[in-house]
Amino acid sequence: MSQDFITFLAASVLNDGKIVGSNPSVESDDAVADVFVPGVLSISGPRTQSALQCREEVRRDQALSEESADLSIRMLYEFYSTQTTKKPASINATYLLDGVPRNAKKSSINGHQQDGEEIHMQSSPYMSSSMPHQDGEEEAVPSRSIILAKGEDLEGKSNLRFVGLVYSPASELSAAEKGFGARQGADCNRAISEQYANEDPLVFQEKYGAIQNAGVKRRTGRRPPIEAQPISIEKINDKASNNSQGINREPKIAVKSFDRPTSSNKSIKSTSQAAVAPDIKAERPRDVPKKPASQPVAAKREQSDIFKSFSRPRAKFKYDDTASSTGASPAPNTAYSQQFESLREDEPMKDASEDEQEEDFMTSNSVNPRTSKSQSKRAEQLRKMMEDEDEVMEDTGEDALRVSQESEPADGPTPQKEISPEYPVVVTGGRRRGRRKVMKKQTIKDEEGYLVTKEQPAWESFSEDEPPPQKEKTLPSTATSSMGKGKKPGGKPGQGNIMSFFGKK
Amino acid sequence: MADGDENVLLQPPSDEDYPTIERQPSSYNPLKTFNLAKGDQKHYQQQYGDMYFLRLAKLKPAVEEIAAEAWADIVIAGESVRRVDRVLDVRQGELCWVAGTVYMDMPLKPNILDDISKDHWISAPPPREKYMSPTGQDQTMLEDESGRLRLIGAPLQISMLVTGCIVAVMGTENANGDFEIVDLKVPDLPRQPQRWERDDGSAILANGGGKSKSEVQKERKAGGKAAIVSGLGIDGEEGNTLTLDLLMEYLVGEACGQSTQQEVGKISRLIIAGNSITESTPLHSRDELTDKKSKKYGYDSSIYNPAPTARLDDFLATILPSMPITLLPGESDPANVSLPQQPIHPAMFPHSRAYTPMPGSEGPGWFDSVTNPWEGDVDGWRMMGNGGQPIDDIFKYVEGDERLEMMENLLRWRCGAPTAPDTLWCYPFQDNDQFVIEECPHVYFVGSQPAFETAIVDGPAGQSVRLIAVPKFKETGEVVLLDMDTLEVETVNFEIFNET
Repeated sequence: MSQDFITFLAASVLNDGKIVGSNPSVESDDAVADVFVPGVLSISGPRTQSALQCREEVRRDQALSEESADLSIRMLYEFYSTQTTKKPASINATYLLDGVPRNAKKSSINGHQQDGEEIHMQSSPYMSSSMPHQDGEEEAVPSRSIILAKGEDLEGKSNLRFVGLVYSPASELSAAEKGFGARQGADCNRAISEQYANEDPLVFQEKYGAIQNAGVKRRTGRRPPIEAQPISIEKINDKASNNSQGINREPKIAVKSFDRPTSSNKSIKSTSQAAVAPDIKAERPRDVPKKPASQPVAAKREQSDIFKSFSRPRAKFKYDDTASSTGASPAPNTAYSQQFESLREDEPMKDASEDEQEEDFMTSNSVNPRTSKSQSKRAEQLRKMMEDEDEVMEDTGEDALRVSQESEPADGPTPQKEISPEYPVVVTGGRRRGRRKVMKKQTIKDEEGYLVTKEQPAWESFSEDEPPPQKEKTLPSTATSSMGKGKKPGGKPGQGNIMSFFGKK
Repeated sequence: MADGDENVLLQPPSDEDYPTIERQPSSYNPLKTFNLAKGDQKHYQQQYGDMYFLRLAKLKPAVEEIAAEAWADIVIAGESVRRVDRVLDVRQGELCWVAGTVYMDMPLKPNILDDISKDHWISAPPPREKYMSPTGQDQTMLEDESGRLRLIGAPLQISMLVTGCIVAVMGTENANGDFEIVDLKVPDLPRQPQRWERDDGSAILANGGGKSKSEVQKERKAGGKAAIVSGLGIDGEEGNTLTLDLLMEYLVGEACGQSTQQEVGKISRLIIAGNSITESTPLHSRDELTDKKSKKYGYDSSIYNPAPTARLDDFLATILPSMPITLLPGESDPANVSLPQQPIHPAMFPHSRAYTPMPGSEGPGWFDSVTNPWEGDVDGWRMMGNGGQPIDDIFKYVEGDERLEMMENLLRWRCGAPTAPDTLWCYPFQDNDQFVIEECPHVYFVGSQPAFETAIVDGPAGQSVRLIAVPKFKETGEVVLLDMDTLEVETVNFEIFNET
């Protein structure tokens, strides 16, 4: 049967075919020009073959030996021939051909001789002396072709081996798109690559008959820098929790801020490991409050290390975070705030913008902070804080502050406080400074990602040249501080600058 | 027709194990010659003039050596040839030779000063195919740090010269002040390393001398073939990727019969020489962009088509499990425009990047995104290639379209991009002209050329270079296979039927 089939195939498909056998070697079709060799057949690749719409079978065929692939393609052809005899032009066939085209070899030789001549024609003095192109002239570049051809185009390509056959029912195609269209093929290939996209090519390509490569190097796992960072943070967090003297943070927060969406958001965030920046933001205000009074500065340092490692470009005063009145250590926190009050004396211009973020100091329990620390120790801490301040200005995020502002009044023991006169008021050199409570609008992102704006009581420190009536002063200072929000240089890096860059000059 | 026992396809899959084809390994040792410094180390404030001086300083000794040897004993009309140090020292009527940089004064060459002075142009004229003036107004100059000399004479007609190449000319200055040249010399091919030279050196270093050279060489398997393709031209269009799919199946070993697949198994590396991606739709001009008047400032994602990059990524990711790839950027690829083009960032290839080396790790990756131009050792041979821009630019300076001749001259000038920075954009090197060819490659390939061509050129000291002009795959469907033992080439041509 096989010989009959080959005869039939050769005679019908290729008019000038001459049968030399069913399994000639590759070289024979180079040697004999007009040979059609149906014997060495294999099905074409799964992608071009995909028009058969039987991908799985085709894939199996990939692994078949040549004999059985021969059979499979024979079956294809049988189907094709029976269909065409039953009803002519009901099926269009597309062939994948492989070999050396009759005219290609000749033209490549010609082309190359031309090249050689051209090279010789160049006769600059240094060329002629050094280098003739004998090699190039004699060389004939072997060329083979792999052609996807339609049945009607097979004329003149009869010395190519016929390695594949793709057919498609004509009835399924529009009249304009008879046969296996290029568009159709490309679409099929794309569909296949999408369908099998989740397969590991290293595992599956062997199954589909791809050439294996033992040396393939593929990355596994993640990039080292990404892995390294969470580890270091974890370490730092451990330190921080050590500093917190074993206080369990999670339950505390849950208890304290159960009813507040922002707080619950915070606790949710905090449960996740601080691998990404938002988590850190959430965690930050939580860590700091629990610091014992004895070593707040060291704890601060570690905080700044965390943020340095993430190099967040946003700025925030870290001592805001100390605002946390966990009740256990209110006095030192207030001491802090007082220290920074005094720090701010030196730069009152800046304070207008910065103070508005610090109103969350919960100082209700600590009316007289100065008694808690000796002056010298405070001075040293202050100096350290000033050093840290610069770092944190760059490193921490404003969002972190916002969360802390939002949540800490809730955590604090005195959320019910009204807008109140300033506590405590210090008068130095004719200037009044202190802190007072104001209602501030806070915009935070809740756990579903919505921005929620709330009015919250917040503490604000102020510094005035003369003691004005307190109630009158409250409003202007709020206004200035909200204005300060927009131009805050550290808090919103670049935003104001970008807008001014695009604005009219 | 099919009898029962022949109904092979109607059986469940057999459990038979069929032999898989193993691909030949590829020895790969790239050089970082053209990698620019990163970040702050990369400056664009420098003047380009330094490049010419650096080039002259590097190549003048080489060309002077050749010239001195060739012209030492020449006596013309009783006068012996005298060497002149500087162009300015040439005296009228005196037979002498001098080395310098060629400058082509071509009125049609783009001139930045013209662009500035005519800034009221409605639109820029289309780029010229050739800078050569049809009326013969072009002048060839020889310059060094002292001055310029106009060159005339017969040797100019028969030798190919472009701006930036270093030559030595012998002749005399005539009454018009022009230098009439009698002969002309170029630096010619530099020293060519032995095959495996670098790998031998590093292997001996790595072993601490434990293994002898012959032992190391014994471990090397026979080289396979390298497939070089250029101008894949993947665009966002649907339906024109069938040829590319055919190429992919061929390289992976899915297409064709088993004998062909065995052949394909010898292809140990794929080198993509630029222009893998093309813009299918014309780029928006500046005017069009402002017309859109989008309220958003900054990046407008609606004008970006991610399809070409994604498709290239698919293409690479399908081949990579089977074959290592070296990817050079080209003119139309998403890399910087100025030479040396830096590697296309692996982030462009979410699937293929798994095969790139770990950041910070030593050694080349399985998928190596490299610079353009690029050089490195593949199976011991020094290969050098580019995406075609230097040759395409030389083409504008000279008559005719003999790409191989341009490639050969480029090697003999010892300058990988002579027309940079004059008419070819390039990085303003300040310490070193990276384009000076220090070591002669064994294989020099140039991508995106109009047709496939190849030749072997020989140097004075026994150098032998295989030149390959790689055609654009999208237009010709041709892939070049380079035998890594013999450096012989063959081509594989992919065709699909015409869509009618």
